[in-house]
Amino acid sequence: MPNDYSSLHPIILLTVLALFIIMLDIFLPKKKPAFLGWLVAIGGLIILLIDWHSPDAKLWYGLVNFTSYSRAFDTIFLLTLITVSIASVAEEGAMSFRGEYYGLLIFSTVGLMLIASSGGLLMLYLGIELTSMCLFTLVGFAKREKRSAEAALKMFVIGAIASAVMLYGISILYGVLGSTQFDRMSLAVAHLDAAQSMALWLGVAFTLAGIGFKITAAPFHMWAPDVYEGAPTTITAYLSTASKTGGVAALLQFILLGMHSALLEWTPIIMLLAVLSMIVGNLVALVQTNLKRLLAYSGIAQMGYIMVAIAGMQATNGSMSVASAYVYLLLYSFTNVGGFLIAQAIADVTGSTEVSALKGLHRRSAPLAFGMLIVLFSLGGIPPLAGFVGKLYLFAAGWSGGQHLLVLLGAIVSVVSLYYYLMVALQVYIKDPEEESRITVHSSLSAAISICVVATILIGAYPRPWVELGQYAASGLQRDSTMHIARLKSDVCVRSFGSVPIAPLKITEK
Amino acid sequence: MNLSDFLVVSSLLFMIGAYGAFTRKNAIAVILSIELMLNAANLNFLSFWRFLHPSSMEPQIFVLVGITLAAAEAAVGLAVILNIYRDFGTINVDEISLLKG
Amino acid sequence: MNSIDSHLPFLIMSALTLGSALVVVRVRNIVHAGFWLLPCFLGVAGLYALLQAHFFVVVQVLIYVGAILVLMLFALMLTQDVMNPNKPQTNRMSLPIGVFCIVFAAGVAAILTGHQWVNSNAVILPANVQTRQLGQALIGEYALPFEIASVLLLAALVGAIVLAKSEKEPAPLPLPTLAALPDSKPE
Repeated sequence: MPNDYSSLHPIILLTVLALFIIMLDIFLPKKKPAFLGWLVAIGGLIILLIDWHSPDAKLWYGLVNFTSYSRAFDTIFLLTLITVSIASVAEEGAMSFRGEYYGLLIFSTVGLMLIASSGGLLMLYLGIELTSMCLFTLVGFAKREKRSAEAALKMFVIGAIASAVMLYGISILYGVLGSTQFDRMSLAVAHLDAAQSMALWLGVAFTLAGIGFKITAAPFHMWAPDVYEGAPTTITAYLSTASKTGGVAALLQFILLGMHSALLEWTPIIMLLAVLSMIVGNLVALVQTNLKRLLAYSGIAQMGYIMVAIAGMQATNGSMSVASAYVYLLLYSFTNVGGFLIAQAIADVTGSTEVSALKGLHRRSAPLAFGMLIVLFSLGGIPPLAGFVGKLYLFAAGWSGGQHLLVLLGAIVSVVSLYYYLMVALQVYIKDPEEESRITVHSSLSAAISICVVATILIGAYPRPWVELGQYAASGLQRDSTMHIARLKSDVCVRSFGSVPIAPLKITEK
Repeated sequence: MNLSDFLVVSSLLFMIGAYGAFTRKNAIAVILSIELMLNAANLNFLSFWRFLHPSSMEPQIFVLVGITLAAAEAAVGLAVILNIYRDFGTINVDEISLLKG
Repeated sequence: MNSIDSHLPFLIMSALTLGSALVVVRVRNIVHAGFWLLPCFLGVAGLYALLQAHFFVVVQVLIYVGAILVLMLFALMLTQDVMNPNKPQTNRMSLPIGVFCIVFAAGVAAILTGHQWVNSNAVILPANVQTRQLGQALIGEYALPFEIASVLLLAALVGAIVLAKSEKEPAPLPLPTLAALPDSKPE
């Protein structure tokens, strides 16, 4: 059913949920916990179920495509929204605009879902901008904190520049290719000599700069550590997982759908991003003393590993790259949200997000210490945990794509990265605490942390279903690609695509 | 006048905006410069529309999106800057550096 | 239809646009920079007129000049005392970045003019038909982007109000109100 508009329901319902929460908050007593976060979580769960039951569809001549790819990525976005919302309940009492907080958080998820289901650069760009616009505000949400205001300014300035650069890049791509719909773009690229067309390169480079900002791949990562440190920690958790996942989803669509017919041309750019991200992220993380900054740099490195898999995309038409990137993003979402939420739980008591605040954590709260250990080991890629499975799959995808040197470099820097993860674990388990007082965690926050930690263990122990989910996601992108090739072969494209109208509109002169 | 002339104007406008965005100390001046960059992108779209694809709707939609974005960015940006002004008493981007990096 | 014959209007409009854009990024007095944005936006509107994008001429003037610029000027006048106009308004990197931008602009312009554009010979529709087509597209094929753009504006408005509103709750440190700001400014 290619024209089933019911596929739009998840996006519409999510928007309605945001408006409902904003309005509901007006009628609720202030300064009392209202458990709005749980309401958002339940709403998100219902929408997730509806999403899984809505049909595949290609609406408005492919303006948006609802496929297994978009459904799988929506799952990551909604699950992150759910965990972050549950964790935010702990902060509700101190918040003066909690309705707007959840509303903007949901709006940004709407933007992310639009990215995953976009069939062209128009919806992709709108989705990216909707997400960024909400996150600018959310980063500055802790208005009594000077750092939060500064983080918002930094993210806004760099984000706005990135969005302007990306729009300029899209305009050039439009001029060169005659369309911003992925299928038409791919068709037009096939007729150009991609290596010779400098204008195409320019457009791709500018567009990738905008996407690079979202996924904090080096060299577009400069803003991330400062913003992560200054933002409210729940928002940092969201920013470092869901927002990055959206960026990777956009990158995969842009490269594998839009630039599909010239995949090899773009591999060097991806390789450059991979090398820079892995090296910069891991080496700078070695000297960090703040837990949030450390996780920020570690996140940059993780994006580098994903780039390794994407760089191997020409093998098997990118399906293994997409599947492995998806699995990694899924587990990374749980692991990293868990890490930031534990940092939040500790900061609630000690008022500090420094690594030294973790000293002797196991004596102050054994469950938190255990959760931190799982998160660190998973990020470091130590065998039984999710991170190991995910990284292995990524490197396998890179290896089968012929990126042997990149995989080797990835393996080496992964070993280096163990150093800083283990240093934190050392603080947690070996060092003596400065204070003996127990750390008590708000029940909602501990529920969110438990979800993340259990998911991290579960994905590591039973990787099979998640890998299948990744392949399911890849099949959505894949079917589209093969469709393009089929069309490319059958349709010799006699028309000069210079003058193809996007959709003939009937004009009735009165 | 053909397409190339318009493209030269838009690329110059874009780079003037980029120059301002990267060098200006005043946060509001940075937003002004970003508006220039967005205008350059819009000019590009409309030039391509006029000379290459006059029957296509896409570039016009993109220009509308670009203008919407400029309005939204102006609103959010000024609120962010007002927030900074209240906390720091300055809107000089160079002086606001609590976060090391 | 491949070229526009009116050279003089094009030269005037592009000179107006680029000249005032340069003033915007270089002038020391920030309020002047805001006011110089006006001729720049009008110049762009003029270029749109040359491109026969009539609807966007009106939109450019109404939204950019009428709304965005007024908002900017409001904020500029609110904060103009903060930055001393006698001090340099650009950071230390301004010279290298300037050189880089000139080189980059030359490169981009060279690439774009060097590309083989396939000009179309289609007729540009008259303004009323163009606008009707755009309207039909916005409620038809492009209804979703239109709606999402509205959600974007709504989210931006909600966000801007939240950030700009001063907290009424007893804050640990009394935040200066807007009226008190000029007194608390640094020399």
